[in-house]
Amino acid sequence: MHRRDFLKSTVGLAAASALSRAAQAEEAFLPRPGTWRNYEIITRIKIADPKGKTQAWIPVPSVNEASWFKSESSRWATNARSATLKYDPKYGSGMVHAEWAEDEAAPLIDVISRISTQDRAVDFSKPSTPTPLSDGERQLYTAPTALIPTDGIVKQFSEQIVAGIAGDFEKARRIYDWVVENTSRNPETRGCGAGDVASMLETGNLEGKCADINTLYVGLARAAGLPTRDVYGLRVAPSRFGYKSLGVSSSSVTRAQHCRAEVYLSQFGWVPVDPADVRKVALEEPPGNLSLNDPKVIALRAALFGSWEGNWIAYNFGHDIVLSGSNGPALDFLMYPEAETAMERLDSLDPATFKYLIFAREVTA
Amino acid sequence: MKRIRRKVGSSISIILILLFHWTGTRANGLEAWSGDDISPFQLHDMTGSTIALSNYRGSPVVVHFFATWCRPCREEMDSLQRLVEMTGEGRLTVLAISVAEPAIRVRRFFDIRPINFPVVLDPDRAVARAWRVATLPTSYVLDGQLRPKFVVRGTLHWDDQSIAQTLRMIGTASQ
Repeated sequence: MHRRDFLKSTVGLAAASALSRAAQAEEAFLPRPGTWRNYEIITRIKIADPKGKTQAWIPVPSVNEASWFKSESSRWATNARSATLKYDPKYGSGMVHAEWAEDEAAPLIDVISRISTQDRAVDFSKPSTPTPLSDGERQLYTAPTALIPTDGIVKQFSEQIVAGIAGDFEKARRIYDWVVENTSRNPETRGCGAGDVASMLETGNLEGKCADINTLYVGLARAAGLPTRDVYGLRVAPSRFGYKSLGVSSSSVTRAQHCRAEVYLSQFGWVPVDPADVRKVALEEPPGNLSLNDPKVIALRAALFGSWEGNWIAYNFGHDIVLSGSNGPALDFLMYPEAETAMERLDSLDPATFKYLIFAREVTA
Repeated sequence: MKRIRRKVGSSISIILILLFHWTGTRANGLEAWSGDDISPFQLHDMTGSTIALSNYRGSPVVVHFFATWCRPCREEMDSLQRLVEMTGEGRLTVLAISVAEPAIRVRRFFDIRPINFPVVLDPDRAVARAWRVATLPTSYVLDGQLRPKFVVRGTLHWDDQSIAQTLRMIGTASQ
């Protein structure tokens, strides 16, 4: 992001509440819970160039939240010597770990997962008494991770953004508005981005995709003391609200990874937020390069603080994931299939040479 | 009216503070190093060969931490290449350290952007952590005895004449 643009958008912040009011009158994007949808996701891996010991780790849905998501079952078919379901001990992020014999010329695995999900929508006019977070959960979701420091420059920015604001709801909303106003989507970013929050703030380059923009939200909110988490997942169906950029157009979803975020507010529980999709709509919805004042963007911006559509599946909330059986480094997050041969780890952002394919379809329960 | 004034005041305060951050620390780019000595390291390059920092004792070294996903890093890589070309062989070394990326991704990155200085891999951020690298890009300028003289947090136009002159002075002082 250029400094001049930053200046422009920051001056525009004063108009944020006016935009919110406009959005209320404009809403075309209205996720509402009530209809559960069931999906089947097939991840197919065929290691293109196996060398010696070959292993793969395939993420499977492992989020269970009674009000919006059930991870139901995962099964697999493979020529691997062994394949087992494993969970990282800190976040419970699930993955199938497959190991092939060293002489296996064509390592293959299909992992088939089923989930149920529905839209989410928080009614901020009706505070409630949700289950409070345990001390452990609060600590986990306010803690720093390898790429989300909560001190230094992240703390400095966070303090400035919420300066003078009392109340967790207001802080969470203010950070959301700041992220929407000051970031931009870069279609050239590989995968979903790296999510290196401190580097983004240090360089002033606040562009990227969901793993950058939503993780920036998570970092700034955690630094403000708000329990916040990334939710790593995959788009699996078109948006029924007519936003082409917020869904997929076919059953092939190999490159449809998308992470969302949640912030915990004591009167509402976990609240869905997705500033990255606001910027995606602004960039991609026809005719493209929409301003934040465009009615479509205004509607989305209002809706994506407090609701999201159930055309997406959640894998996990994890960070700094150690892959069982690997001597390689921990993953910053687990959203793509991972694999390594005796020579090296493969590039999970390059499904064509890796190789992997992901398909999704809606199914009856 | 008071509320509006407070809101405008708050926005201006954020602008000033953040503009200071994104411009003030970049005014000169090279920050004099005031910390302790740094740890030596050995890392693998993209072909698996081991490269030690100590191999480069004798002339100034720019140790440059980067990632292929980082757009400012990509732009800076070109200026580092020009710096090496300007300076001439043996008078300065640039040693680029890819942080937390698989070798195959880094190889493909440089296949289409060839450079003529070594690139090594820090897959688990061990060296980046030891060198207290908080953001990417970050670069250290070491003298011929491999003592840190400057740190650059963020990007720099390495081929700028004033930077090249500073590096030449470090080289002369090292001899």
